[in-house]
Amino acid sequence: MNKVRDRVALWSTILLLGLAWPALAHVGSPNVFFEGEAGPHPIRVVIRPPPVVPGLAQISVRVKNTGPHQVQVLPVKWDAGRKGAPPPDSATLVRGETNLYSAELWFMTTGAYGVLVRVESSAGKGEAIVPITALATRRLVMTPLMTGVLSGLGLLLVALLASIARAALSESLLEPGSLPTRRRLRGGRLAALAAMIFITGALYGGYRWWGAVDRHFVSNRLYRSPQTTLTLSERDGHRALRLAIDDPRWERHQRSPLIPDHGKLMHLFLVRQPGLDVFAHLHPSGRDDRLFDTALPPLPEGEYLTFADITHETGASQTLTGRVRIGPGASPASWHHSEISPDPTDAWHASHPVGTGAAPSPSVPSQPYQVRWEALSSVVAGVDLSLSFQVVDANGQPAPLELYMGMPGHAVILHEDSSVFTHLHPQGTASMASLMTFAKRELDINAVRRLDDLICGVDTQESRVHFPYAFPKPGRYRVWFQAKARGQIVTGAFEVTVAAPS
Amino acid sequence: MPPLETAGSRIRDTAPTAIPWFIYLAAIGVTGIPVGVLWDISWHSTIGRDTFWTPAHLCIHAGGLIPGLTCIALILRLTFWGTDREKAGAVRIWGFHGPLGAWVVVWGNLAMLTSAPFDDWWHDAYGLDVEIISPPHSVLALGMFGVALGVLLLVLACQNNIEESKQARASLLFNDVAGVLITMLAIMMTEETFPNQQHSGLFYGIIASTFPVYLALISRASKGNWGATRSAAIYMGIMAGALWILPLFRGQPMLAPIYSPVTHMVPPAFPLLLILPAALFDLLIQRFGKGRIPWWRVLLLAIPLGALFVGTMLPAQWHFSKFLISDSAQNRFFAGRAFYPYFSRPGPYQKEFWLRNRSAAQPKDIALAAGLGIAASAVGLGIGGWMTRVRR
Ligand SMILES: [Cu+2]
Repeated sequence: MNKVRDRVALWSTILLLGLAWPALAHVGSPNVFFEGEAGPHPIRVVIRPPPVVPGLAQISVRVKNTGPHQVQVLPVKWDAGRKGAPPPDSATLVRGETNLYSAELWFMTTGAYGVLVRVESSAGKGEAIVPITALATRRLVMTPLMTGVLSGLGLLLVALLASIARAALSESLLEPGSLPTRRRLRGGRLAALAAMIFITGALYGGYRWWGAVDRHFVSNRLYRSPQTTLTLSERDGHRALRLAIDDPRWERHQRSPLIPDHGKLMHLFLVRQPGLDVFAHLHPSGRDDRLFDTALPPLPEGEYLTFADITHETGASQTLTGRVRIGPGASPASWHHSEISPDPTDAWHASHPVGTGAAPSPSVPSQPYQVRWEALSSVVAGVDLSLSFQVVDANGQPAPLELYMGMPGHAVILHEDSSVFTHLHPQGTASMASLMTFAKRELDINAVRRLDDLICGVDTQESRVHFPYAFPKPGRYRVWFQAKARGQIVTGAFEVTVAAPS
Repeated sequence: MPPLETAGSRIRDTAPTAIPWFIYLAAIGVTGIPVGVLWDISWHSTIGRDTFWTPAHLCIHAGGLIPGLTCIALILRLTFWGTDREKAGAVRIWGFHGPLGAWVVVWGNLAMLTSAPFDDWWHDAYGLDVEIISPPHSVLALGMFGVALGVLLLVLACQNNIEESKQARASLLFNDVAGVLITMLAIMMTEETFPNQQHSGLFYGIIASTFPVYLALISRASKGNWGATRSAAIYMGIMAGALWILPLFRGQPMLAPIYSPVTHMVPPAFPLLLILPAALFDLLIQRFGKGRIPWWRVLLLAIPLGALFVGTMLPAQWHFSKFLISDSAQNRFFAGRAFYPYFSRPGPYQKEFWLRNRSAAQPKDIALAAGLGIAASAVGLGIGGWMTRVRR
C-alpha cells in the first residue's frame, strides 16, 4: 500500500505532474456538447470522454454548412497550451454523412483540457475550443469470463512451475539415461513444494498489490462529486443558507482558485425531493475558499438536494452535491436576511410533482410569461437533440428576452432518481467561464470576440432558445428553463420520459 | 520403456560435438526481449501513442515467440519422434519429453500470454499506464524472465555436456544469454536507478540485493573464465547501443500535454558500471569458487563478494552519477539527462539528486547494502553450483 503511494509520489516528483484536484461539471452526464462557430463554420461538437485516464476520447464534429470541409482536432492541456500539443489529428467523414466528422484523441493526464477544433473549407478557416475535464469516472469490475480465463491460465502456470521445479532438482541433474535415486526424487518433490509455496506467496502478494492499486484508484483518482454540508440559520424571521465544502479530498488536494461564471462564483440549485417540484437557483457569495453564504428564499418545507456549480482558474468546472432539510418558514413574504442580502439574479419556482402531469408540458404558468417547450417526437437516450424553448406572454406573443446572467437562457436537467444533473447553455454543457478561459488562452483575438458576441449578442427578439444535448440514460427527467423578459426572471418546469435505445 | 541404465551408459560414451542450431536460434531470438523493451520505453517517452503493432512490441513478441516456438517444436519432436537415447537426455513432464530449459521457456511464454488479456483489462480499468511496474507488467516481466532463463538453461546444459574442445564456445553463448538476463533486470529497475537516485541509500540497497545473484551464478556456472565480466559487458553493450542508436532517429510526441518537446527517440540513461564488480567476482570465483565446494566455503566466499560489490559500485556510481547529471555529460556519448520523456517538465530537479527529504546514503545504509550484497552473492553462488550440475 505504501509502495503504491511511494511510487505515485516518486513519479509526481519526477514528472512534477502535481496532484491537481480533478473537477467534473455535471453529475452522471459526462459527455460534452458544444454549439458554436469555427470561423465561418457553424459547428456542433460532441465529446465522449474516456472513462479512465489515460484514455481515448471520441470526438464528433458536425459542420452546419456545405462542404467539403477539412476538420482537425487537437488536445490542449490547460497548463501546456498549444505549444505542448502534438500535431493535430484529421477527423474523418462518418460513412453515409456529408458533414459529420469523427476523431479520437488521447487524454493522458487528469485535469482541464480544451479540444481545439479547426475547420477549413472554401468558405475559409476558423477555430473553436471546447473545454473538457479528463478524469476517471468508472471503476471496472472483471467479468466472470475474464476471471475464469485468467484463473485457468494462472492454475496452469502454477502446476507447470511445480513440475519444472521437481524436474530441476531431480531428473535434470542426472547423466542422460540414468535413473534418479530415492534421495534425488525426494529433493525433486521438496523443490516442487517450495515452488508451490513460493508462487502462492507471489500470487497473494500480487493480489494485495492489486488491491492497493485499486484502493488508491478509488480514493484518489476515481471522480466523485465533492460532498458539501448545508446549514440553515435564522434571525428575525430571515433565513440564510451556508454551504461548506467539507469533503476531505478537497482539503487534501492542491487545487486552483475559483473564477466567476456568469459573474457568480457559485451557482447553487436546490430541488425538493422526491417530487422535484420546487426549484431554486441561487448565487451564494464566498466567505473564503470553502464557505459560501446566501439568503434563502421562502421555499416550502421539505428535503432538498443541492447542486453547486463552480469553475476553476484552469478552466475545469465541477458540480458539488449535498442535501439540506428546510423547515417551515417564519414569514414567507420577505426573505431578506438581516446580514445577507439576496442576489437579484436569484430565482425560485414551484410546480406539480414529477410524474403527475402530462409530459412534456409547462407546469404552473409563471405569470405574466409562459415558457413553451417545443415538443420532441421521441426522446431516446444517447441521441443528439436540440432542446428548444420559447417564452410567450399571456396573449401567446413572443416575449422580448434579455440576457439572464450573460446568457439568453439556462436549462437545468435532473433525472428523477437524481443520478443525472446538468446545467446547459445555448453554447452547450461547458460553463461560460471555462469557454472564455480557454478561448482567451488559445484562440486569436477575433475568435474570442466572436465567441463573446455569440454568447452575449444572441438575437433575443426571437424569444426562442436552443440547447444541444443528449440524455445519457433512459428514465424520467425534469427540465427547467430559465430566461429573463422585461426585467423578470421566467422559469418553466417540464418533464420528459427518455426511452432506452432499441 | 527400455532399461535406461544400460541405455545411459552407452550415451555417455559420446558427448555432443556441436552446439545444435536451435540453441543458436533461441539465443539470438531472446535478445529481442530487452531490445524490444528498451525500444518500447523509448517509444512511450518520445511518441507516446501506441498500438499492438508498434515495431517495439513486435520485437518483444518475437523475442518471446522465437525461443517459445523453437522449444515447443523441440518438445514435440522429442516426444513423438525422438529416439530412446534422445529421450533419455531430457526431462519428462506430463508425459512429454524436453530439456529443462525448453520447459522453462514454454512456461515463460505461457506467462507472457497470460499477461496480455490482464494488461488489456488493466488499461481499461485504471487507464493506460505510465509506470513500468504494475501487476500485469509483473506477470509479463516474469514471463520474459522465464523465457530468458529457459534459454540460459538450454545453453547451460549444452555447455555442460559438450565435448571439451567446444566448451569455450558454448560458454561464450552462455555468457551472452546471461547478459540478456542482466539487461532485463536492469530495465526492470529503471525507475529506481536513474542517475539522480544514485546518492540515496535505497539505490545501493536495491542494486546490492539483485545484481550479485547474477554475477555470482554466471561466474560460477561458466566453464570459461571471465564469465561475469563478459555478461556485464554484454549488458553495458546493449544499453549503450540503445543509448547511441535511438537518438539517431527522429520522433515526435503524438500526445498532449508535451512539457519537453523532444525531437528524436529518447535514449535510456547510461548503464551502471557493472563490469567493475563483475571482474572482481570473476577473479575471486576463478580462484576459490569453481567446481564442487562445500556449503561453508560458499558462505565464506559470499562475504568478500558482497563487500566488493558495494565497495566498487559505491565510489563508481557515486562519482559517475555526479558527472552524468552535470552539464559535462550532455553529449551524444553519455546522453546524461537525455532520458527524460516528453511528459516530464524541465526543471532544476533534473540536475539534482532526488533524496525525497532524506539525506544521501549514510554508513548504515551502506552497511545494509553490503549485507544484502553478501546474501545475494551466497544465493547466486548456490544457484551457480546447481547450474554446474545441470545435464539435461
Ligand atoms: Cu447558467
